[in-house]
Amino acid sequence: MKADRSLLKKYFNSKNHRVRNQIERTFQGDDLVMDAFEGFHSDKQAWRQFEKFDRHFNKSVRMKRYLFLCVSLSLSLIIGWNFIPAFKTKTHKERLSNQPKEEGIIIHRQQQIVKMQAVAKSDVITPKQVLLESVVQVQKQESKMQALEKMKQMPAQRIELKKDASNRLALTNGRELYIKNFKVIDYRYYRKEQTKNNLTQEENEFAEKTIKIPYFNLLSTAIEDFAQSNYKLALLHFDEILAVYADDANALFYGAMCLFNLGEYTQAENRLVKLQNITMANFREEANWYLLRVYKQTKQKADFNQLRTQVIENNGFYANKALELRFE
Amino acid sequence: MILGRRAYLKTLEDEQVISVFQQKQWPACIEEIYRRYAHLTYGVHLKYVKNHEDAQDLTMELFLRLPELINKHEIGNFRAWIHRVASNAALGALRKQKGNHHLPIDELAIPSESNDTDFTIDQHLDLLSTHLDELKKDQKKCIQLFYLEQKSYEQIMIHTGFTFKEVKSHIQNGKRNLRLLISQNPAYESR
Repeated sequence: MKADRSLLKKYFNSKNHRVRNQIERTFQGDDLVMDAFEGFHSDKQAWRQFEKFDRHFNKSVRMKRYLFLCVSLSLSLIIGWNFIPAFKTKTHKERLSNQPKEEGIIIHRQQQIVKMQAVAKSDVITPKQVLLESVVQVQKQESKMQALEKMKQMPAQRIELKKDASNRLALTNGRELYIKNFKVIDYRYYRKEQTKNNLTQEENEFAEKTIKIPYFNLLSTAIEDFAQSNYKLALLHFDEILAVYADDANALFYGAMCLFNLGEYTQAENRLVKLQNITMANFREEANWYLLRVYKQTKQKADFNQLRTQVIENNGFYANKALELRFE
Repeated sequence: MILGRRAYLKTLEDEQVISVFQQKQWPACIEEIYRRYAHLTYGVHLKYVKNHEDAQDLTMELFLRLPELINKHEIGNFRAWIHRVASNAALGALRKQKGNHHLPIDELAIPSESNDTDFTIDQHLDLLSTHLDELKKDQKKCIQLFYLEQKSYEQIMIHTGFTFKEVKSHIQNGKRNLRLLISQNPAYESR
């Protein structure tokens, strides 16, 4: 047993004399403790007086500790504020390195869409603009093909193909088709199996009476609405598609265009970022270009500059446009 | 870092803490000694000066001078050393207060290490009753109340009308005499 403060406090506050006797017997041979007991016994207020004195004596020590804690806390706050990237908004590259943030994409309800306001005419990405760009892009690709044909042909060499599927390129361009001259990926080919499975399910469920509109019809209607600048209606249809097919490139891209024109830049950004993370790369270049415009609208200078450099370096269809586009 | 020092010092014996202070001069060592001994030295000071203000002044002065004292002296048993330092400081203060007046002889007694720590009455309670009658009357009463009836000092003071010092003195002297008597008992020798 050690004659520490808690024991002495217990001794002086205890009314149980057995406990007191035990403590006194323990320290019978300890002159220091017995002398201290004698001193404290001279006055009933002695222990309280000591505690008062102790608080006063420790005041300076406590003040030093508080000062030290305050300084270290403020220092760590300053360091944290300046150096820990968690406080910063994520850069474009970091966002891309992350998996698509599906949680960021909202499937809008009709009431929400109705409340949206169209942006100023000067900022709108018109359907005509999108259409022209895709047509010019196709023509440019054709001219590239012609140029390739002109090249001198070399004798064919036998190349051994690796059968390992995992080594193949992960990114692919899907089959494309044009609805009202707007480029879309023909998902009918890729979702054949899925549709078959869905059909068998529906056949088994006799009770279900919900009418399901085929994907292609819905997409056509949505594109038609987009072409007629009915962005709200088009967005409603694209969101219906996204509710079923979260990775649908057509709905992501044209949906983002609608959201951009309705001033919903964050949602447009989320869809364009996701578009860059899906396997179908058909809209990758467009996504980068329109994302650049979103960054300009939302005044995200760091992301804008980073992406602009990337678009220019890629030397694609939008490289010249990106060169002309400046952050003001 | 500082919190780590405190936690480390808490695990050390008094002499080790002193040794660390002599080597590294950590203020945390003095804080640790203060935590362990301030209440005891305050009690010792109060025993002599019988006044809270003076006891507080003496305790404060002792711990302010402690770093200097530790650096100056070779300390074997810290507990006994600090007891002696605290008592001497209190006696010095008393001398200053009382001028040339003589202090009572028992107040001048400088504490030394108790030499009967290895002998405990609790181990020989069976032999206690046989030798109790051989003690002086006051000693017998105090020993009986304290060891056999398990009364506290305060109860003994009320019961006998003795002061704390007298009770302590009777118990200590009675214990010393009992040790001598018990050690001469053949039953004790055979143990």
